[in-house]
Amino acid sequence: MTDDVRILTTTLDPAALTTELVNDRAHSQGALVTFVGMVRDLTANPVSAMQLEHYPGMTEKSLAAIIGRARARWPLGRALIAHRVGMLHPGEPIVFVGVTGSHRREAFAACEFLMDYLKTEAPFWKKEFTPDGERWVEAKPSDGEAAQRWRAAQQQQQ
Amino acid sequence: MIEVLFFARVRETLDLARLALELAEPTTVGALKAQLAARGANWQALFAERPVLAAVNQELALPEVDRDR
Repeated sequence: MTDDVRILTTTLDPAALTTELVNDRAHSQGALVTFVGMVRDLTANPVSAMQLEHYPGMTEKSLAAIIGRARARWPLGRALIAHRVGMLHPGEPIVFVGVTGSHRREAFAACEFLMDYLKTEAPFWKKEFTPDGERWVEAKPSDGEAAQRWRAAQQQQQ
Repeated sequence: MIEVLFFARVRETLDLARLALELAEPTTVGALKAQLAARGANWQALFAERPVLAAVNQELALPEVDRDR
């Protein structure tokens, strides 16, 4: 079982990461769920590029800790989080989360859990470049609510 | 002594990436924010505008967290 956290300064290749997980999983793992997030291109709110800053060291630690929490909740095989930093343009993949498990249910749940916590607890900051200038994007309250949902679900189970 | 690192919007607003601070006694994240806000008008505006996330030893921290946790 290898936990993987990769911070990439060049292109993120979701197909290559998916193939890696398919080939590298244990044979008892019949499920692989992946999520790929891409830079959106919104006509109402044109963003020509975005710059992603992070806190090297803390980023890797916090993502590894999030994977550890997912493992405490579900029996998982591989868990891989890859995240871009630096300059990105609309359409480019920015994040990849891939989880293998024996069954689809835990793989789906863990993949969503990892994304929800990544959005609230990993030290990434996004600056958007638009025709009107540059702006830092603050964390959206809805991202915090998503992570809160998992906490509530766990308390109900206890 | 502690070293405070600034990122993203905060770093650009202050034009400062790191700051070494001598502390007379252990402090908390909340007290440290108040201390920083008192350094000048742009510092004060920064902390008043929007919540500023903080981490202690690379772990996300709430305002009441001790420096040496």
